Amino acid sequence: MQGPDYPLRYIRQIPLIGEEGQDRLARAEVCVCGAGGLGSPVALYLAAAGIGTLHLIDGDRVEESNLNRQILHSPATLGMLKVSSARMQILELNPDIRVRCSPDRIVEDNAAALIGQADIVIDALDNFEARYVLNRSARRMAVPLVHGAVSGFSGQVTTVLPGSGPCLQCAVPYPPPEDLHPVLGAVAGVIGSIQALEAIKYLTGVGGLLSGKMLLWDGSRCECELLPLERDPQCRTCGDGVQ
Amino acid sequence: MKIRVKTFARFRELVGTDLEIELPDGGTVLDGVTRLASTASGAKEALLDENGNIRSHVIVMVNKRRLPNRDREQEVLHDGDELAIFPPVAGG
Repeated sequence: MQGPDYPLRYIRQIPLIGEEGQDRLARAEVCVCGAGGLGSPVALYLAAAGIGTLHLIDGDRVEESNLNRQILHSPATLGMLKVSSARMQILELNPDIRVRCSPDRIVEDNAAALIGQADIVIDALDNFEARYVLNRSARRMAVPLVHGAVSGFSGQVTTVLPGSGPCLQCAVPYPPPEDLHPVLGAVAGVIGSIQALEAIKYLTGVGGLLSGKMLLWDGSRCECELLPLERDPQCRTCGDGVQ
Repeated sequence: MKIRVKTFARFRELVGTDLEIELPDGGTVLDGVTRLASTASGAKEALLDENGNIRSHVIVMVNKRRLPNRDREQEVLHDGDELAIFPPVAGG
C-alpha cells in the first residue's frame, strides 16, 4: 500500500527519522521563547525540518544592533515586533507550517498559558530571571525544556526532561552576570542549532538527549565539555518539599 | 601540595588552563580559587565577589565531581586533586 506522499523538501531527512518521525514533527507544536540570537537558528531549522506549529514568544522589536546574530530579522523589518518579523521569514522558508506569535515577555502570571500547548519548549531567552520562571512552569506542566545560552565565544546547552532528573536551576543555580557581553552570530548559530537538534530528537525518538548533562562549548578554541548534572535536593525549583 | 587546575572558555582566556598551583596542606577550594584570582588582571573580578567569596554562578568541580555552592568553599583539597572551574553564561 502506498503511504502518504511527503514533500520533496523532506526527502533527505526521512531516511534518518523515518516517515513516522516526519509525521511526529508535523503533528508537533514547539514553543520558542525568544526570537533573538538563539531563537533565530532554532526557529529556522525547526521550520525547515517541518515542525507543524511554531509558537514564537518575544516582546521586543527589531533593532539594528540585533542584525549581527539574529538572522530571522533584516533591515527591512527594523522596528517591527520580532515575532512578526520572524513569522515572515519563517513562512518564506517553509509556507507549509503554522506560526503562532505571542508578543509577550515571559513572567510568572503568563508562563503556563503561553507554553501550555507545547510538546517541547526551547529556552532561547537572554536572562535567567525569565529562564527560572520558564523552568518552574515547564516542570509543573511536565513539558520538556531545552536550555541554551551564549556569551562571547562560548555557550551551553542542556535538555531538562519532566520527572525526577535535574532541572535548569539544578544545572545553573545562580544566574551568571548579564552585562552586555559581545557575541558573534556564529556562536549563537552553533548553540541554537544544537537546541533545534535536541527538539527534533526528542520529538522523533531518534538518538540520545543532553539530559542529565550540560554541554559547554568554547568556540574560540572549538572545545567542549560535558558536565554531569544531578538533581539538587535543596533546589529552589525542584527540591524536596517544593510544590 | 600540588593541585592541578583546569579552566574553560572565559576563565581559560583569563588565567590559562592545565595549570598547577602549590597550596599549603589543608588548603581549601576557596584557597585554590583565590590563588588563581591573583594570577592575572581581571581574574579577581571574574572569580571572586567583593567579600572574597567565589562568585555564586561559577561552577566548581573537584576530581570531576561538582560541588554544591553551600559547602564548596571550605572543601579541603588533597595533593594531586584536580580543581576545575567553568563559567556558565546568560545571553541569548
